[in-house]
Amino acid sequence: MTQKTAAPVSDQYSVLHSTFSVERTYPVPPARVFAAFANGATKRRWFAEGEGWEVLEFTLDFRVGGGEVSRFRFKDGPEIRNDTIFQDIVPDRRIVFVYRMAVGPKPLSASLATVELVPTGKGTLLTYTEQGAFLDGADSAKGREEGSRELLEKLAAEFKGSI
Amino acid sequence: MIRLGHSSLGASEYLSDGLTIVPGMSILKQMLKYQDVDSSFKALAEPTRRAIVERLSRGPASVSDLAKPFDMTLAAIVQHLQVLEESGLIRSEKVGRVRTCRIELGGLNTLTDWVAERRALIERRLDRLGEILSETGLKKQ
Repeated sequence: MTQKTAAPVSDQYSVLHSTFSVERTYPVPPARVFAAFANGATKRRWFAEGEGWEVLEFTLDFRVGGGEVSRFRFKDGPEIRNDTIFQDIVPDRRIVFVYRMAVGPKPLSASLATVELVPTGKGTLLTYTEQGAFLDGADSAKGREEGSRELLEKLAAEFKGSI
Repeated sequence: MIRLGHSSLGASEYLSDGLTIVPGMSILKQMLKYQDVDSSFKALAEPTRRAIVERLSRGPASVSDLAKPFDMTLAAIVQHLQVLEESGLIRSEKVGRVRTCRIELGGLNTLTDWVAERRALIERRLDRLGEILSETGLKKQ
């Protein structure tokens, strides 16, 4: 029950744990959606290509314990690398994987991701859920705190006289 | 399109671990409500909650530390914290047995932006997947 266990505010090391979900409905059966994850050429198209990114590497070994490596670069920027290991695969229904994302030598995050496919009347409901540890993003924490305080003061000013 | 939940967490659920889902959801909600100033104002239109926010603007604090100055039950404090967290003004994280709350004001928090960027990346990829599925759908059907 001390502050000792709290995450550092201004240190260079910090972790933010976060979970988010994204849903999409596609007008095709689950088997087709699943195939777009399982087939390396198809997955490369939607996962790695596009948006002006240069794909340096994309390799897919789609099986439990197998991995996926993708390396990208945007213009002259540093290399961004994803390393994935598949944890659970249920054809046409579910894919669970862990992945690590890094920019150059600097790790950005380590995550557990789950893709669930559920047949609907019109096609497939895909739910992507990521539970991640986002690393070392707090280097401007002090500036943010000061900014927060300013905003709070403005908010407080708004309330004066109204309460 | 976006899964939301935890709108009425009980005190015990809030204090229990719950795999960090609560902070994650609060960030999601905060992003959705980024321009919903109304909810922030409502959350702050209450003296206890304003005092909590003022305390947190000086630095993070545990739930029990936050409760100390107030003559009310822990459950009542937790309810106030939930309102603040749902409006995106604070966030909390459970580390070991201690839930620590900290200030969180909209786009000021680059940590949150980071998660938002990741989320946006996934969204774009899944949209591209949709385009590819509809292309091949035309070819094969």
